[in-house]
Amino acid sequence: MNKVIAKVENLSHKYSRDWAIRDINFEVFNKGILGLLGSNGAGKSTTMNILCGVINQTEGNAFIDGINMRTNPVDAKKLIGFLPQKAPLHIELTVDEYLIHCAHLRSIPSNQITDALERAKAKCGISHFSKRVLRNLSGGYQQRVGLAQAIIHNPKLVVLDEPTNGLDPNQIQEVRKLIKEIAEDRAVILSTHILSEVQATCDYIVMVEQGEVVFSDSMYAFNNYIAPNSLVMEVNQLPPEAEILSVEGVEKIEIINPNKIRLRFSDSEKITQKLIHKSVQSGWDLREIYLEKTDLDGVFAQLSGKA
Amino acid sequence: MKKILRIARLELSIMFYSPIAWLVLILFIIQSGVVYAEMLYDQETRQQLGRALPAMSKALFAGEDGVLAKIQRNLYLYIPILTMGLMSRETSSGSIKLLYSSPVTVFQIVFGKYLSMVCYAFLLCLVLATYLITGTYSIVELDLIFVMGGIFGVFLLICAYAAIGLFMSSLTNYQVVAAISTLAVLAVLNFIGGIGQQYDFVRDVTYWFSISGRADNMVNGLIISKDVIYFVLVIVMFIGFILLKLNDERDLKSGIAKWSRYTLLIVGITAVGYLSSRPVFTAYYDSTRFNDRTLTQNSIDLLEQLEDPITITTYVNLVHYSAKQGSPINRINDLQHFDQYRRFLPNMEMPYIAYYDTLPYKTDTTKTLLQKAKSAASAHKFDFDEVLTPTQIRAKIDLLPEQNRLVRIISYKDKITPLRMFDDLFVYPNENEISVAIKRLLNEPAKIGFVGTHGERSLSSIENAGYQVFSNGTNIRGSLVNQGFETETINLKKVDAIPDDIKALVIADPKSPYTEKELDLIHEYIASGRNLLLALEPDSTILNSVLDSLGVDLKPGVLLEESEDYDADLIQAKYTKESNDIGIRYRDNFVVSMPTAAGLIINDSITNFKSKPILITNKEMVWNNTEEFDLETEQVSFDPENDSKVELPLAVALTRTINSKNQKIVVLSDADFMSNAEMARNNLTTRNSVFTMGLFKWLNDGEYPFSSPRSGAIDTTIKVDRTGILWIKVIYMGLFPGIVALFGLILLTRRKRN
Repeated sequence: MNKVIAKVENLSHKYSRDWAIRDINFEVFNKGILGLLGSNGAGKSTTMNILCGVINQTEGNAFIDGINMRTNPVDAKKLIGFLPQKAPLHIELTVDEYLIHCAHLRSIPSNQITDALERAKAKCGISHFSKRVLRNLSGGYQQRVGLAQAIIHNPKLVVLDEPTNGLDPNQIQEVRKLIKEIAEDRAVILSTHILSEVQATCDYIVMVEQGEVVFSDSMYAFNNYIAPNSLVMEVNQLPPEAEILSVEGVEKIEIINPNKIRLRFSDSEKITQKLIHKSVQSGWDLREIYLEKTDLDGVFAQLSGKA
Repeated sequence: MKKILRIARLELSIMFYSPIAWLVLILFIIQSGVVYAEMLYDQETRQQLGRALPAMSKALFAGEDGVLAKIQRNLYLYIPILTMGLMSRETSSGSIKLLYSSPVTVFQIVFGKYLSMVCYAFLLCLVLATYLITGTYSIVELDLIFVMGGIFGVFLLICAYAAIGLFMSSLTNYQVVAAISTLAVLAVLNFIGGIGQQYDFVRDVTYWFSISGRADNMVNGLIISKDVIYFVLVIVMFIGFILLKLNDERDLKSGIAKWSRYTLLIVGITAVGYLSSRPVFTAYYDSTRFNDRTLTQNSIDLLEQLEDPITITTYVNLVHYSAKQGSPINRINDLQHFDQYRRFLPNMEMPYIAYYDTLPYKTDTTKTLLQKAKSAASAHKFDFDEVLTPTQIRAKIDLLPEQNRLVRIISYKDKITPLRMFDDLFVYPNENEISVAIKRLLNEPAKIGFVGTHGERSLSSIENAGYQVFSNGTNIRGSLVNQGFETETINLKKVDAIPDDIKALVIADPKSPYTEKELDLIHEYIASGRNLLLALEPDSTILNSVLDSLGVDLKPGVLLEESEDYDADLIQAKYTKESNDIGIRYRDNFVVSMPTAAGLIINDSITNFKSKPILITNKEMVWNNTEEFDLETEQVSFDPENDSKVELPLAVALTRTINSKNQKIVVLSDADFMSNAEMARNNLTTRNSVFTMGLFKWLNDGEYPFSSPRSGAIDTTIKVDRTGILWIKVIYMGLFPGIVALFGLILLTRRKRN
């Protein structure tokens, strides 16, 4: 059964005069990945920094497993692992030296450090780099070391601030896979401004825009919410508009060129199937049909408009 | 604590995984080695030339040019390089978030980082500690505790600099900015001591904040609680600043709330610092072997006799050149000359009163007195509103006997005594003069009577033959009046007896015969067993009857001495070993100049005096000339055929016990040896002043002048020769830094490969 492991209540924070986040509320369950989605400057990092005790909020509360981060930061921090946007590495150290240091900082008893170290390294696939100096590792591996420090003490909650930033596509895939593994037995909060990353990895989503939560629900609900309402169809022979409009659900059409049209529909239920069926029936000679994905701006526009 | 150690360990690792820590260490070793070896070389050269060496522990490690003194002056260059990255590296790389998101407190973070610097400071001090071994190998009887005290001072200084550096590093993301701003803050802390010196309270506060020379006392053998507390407070203050800063950074607070916390911290630290610098709360530890930085036991015993606090009021005449010493801007320095006394007299008050009044010997009439006073006030930053006018100061105290120059009046109960500044190299009174002044307040001064009836040498005459300088010279350190004596001219015509309070009577070179009655007074005086100094000139017969009673005679003729440089009648009298018996330390090369002296003939078998010659002629150079001569017109030289070299007494000390008193009499065949001219003679190294004071000390049974004997240094011999010094150079400039460099190189290269 899902249990709330972290909770953010009416969280607000301002730097000098401007509010960076305002009245943010969400809960994190003890398993799975929660995506904190938002464009740059939306307040994701501020939220995460507060949640991890890096900065203290102006108003509101953040609880980790019921412990208030503001009033009892040392105990609360024992339960979290944090990978900030830029991995907090000491590049002069070797992987082992760095992770052992982190293990001590995270209050792991001395006799358990070796095990914790090996486990974290194995999980992040860096066991063979133990003696390497961090400076000499590639960006992807440095990020893996960053992840390893976040999980070395087996925390209940791992907070990852844009963990795939600056990585190449292969590295992104690897890191995403790693995050999913990490999330198998604990909660992970992942922030990103890339919609596809959220869709690829997250189970829950909290979307922040201009410091406010504009969406907070499961990935399923999100996908439904931002389901596309247009598709593009390319045919050799453009049929009359009325014929297309006669397909159930199609509301409006827009001719892009003599062979290409955009269709807007109200109900996405089996719309593609219906159109293909009609095309075969009426001999439109269909070449290509695809749903137009909603980009992040579009989603924000939608959500903000609604919010 | 575990986490603090962990953070410290990490910082140290990072420091040593970069070349900086190694480079600083290597430079530190080389620099200390250069200073040590050079100083040792210089002193060894002196030793080879047969010159006396100073106390070598001090010369090698403290003073102006010692290792610790120089190191502490250069530390400000090393520390910013080490501290610049402590915080700024973390904030710029973002690794600070690792600490902030870990279960550690800000205090643990800051203290851990600071501890790493303390460890590095300890390492530097270990380098310095190797000199305890090197020093023991280089010189005889190295004062180990003294050197350790100095190292402790340097350690505290590094720790204070490190706290400042850490704070500056927390203010910026750029390491270079952190280093430069640390240098700037250190400069301000060095400079701040000079700010607001004209205002009493501001002066105390800004001086307290000043870091300049703070470790000097420790390096030079005196560990004072206020200095140690100062360093601790500087550390606490800057660590406090960092904690406030880091907390503020993560927590939004109003400007007022932020600044009030900083202000509270500064005020708190200042208050503790101010209190700790009050003499009442100050504790001392003298780390020198013979307590060189503490008053001698004689002075301490003297001060213990004081029942009430004493007050030393300094009167500063603005128009005299001594005003500079009494000016507000020189106050700290001025007061420091009395630090050793404040240590034992914490309740001693030292007010300053500024005034202006005419100077007896100044004739500058281009400006009025008021104009001169005003321009002096502005130059020396006196508050002219508080400066007393001539009328006001005269109503308060008569300073004309002090020639209206800077003088301190020590008051105790209802007694006062002056404490003067001197026209010599040192200017300030030292322990002898200060203690003797205090002693005069507790006991009566020793009164010396000078017969002034028949043209005897005058106490007030500033002519060459006069006695003013050694007796009443107010600004002469070695004059009787500044060494606990009081002088009085006695006119034998006007007295029925020599006053009872006279400790010793001086009859110096009378020009006309005494009357019977006057001679009777002198005889009575001698017969009563009291002390006398008789200084005569050749062929004087006026006091023959007195001489007869003493069993001493003046040999007819004038002594002449062979010399290429001086007139033949200048006798360079040598000490006899018997001079030790009357407390005048014998040295073979000590000379007292005596122009126109005669030989003394001692015939004590006819009296009950025991006699000891204390000055004699040089038997290889001196002959007795009984013929008439005039050196101004003729060349008189030794004639081996008719003349013969003689060793004759020039001064004799006579003693006897009479009326159960130990009577002391000195007869000298020259009266010029204590004249103004001879006291100021600078074409011959003479001991006239010391010898004269020695005579008076003996005559007043050693009560005055005040003696503050100190054990002589025993660390005055260098054990190593040039080869040994070369080895020290090789070790500190090659081997030692080489090994460190090799270690560093291996470590850094190995890590580079990984």
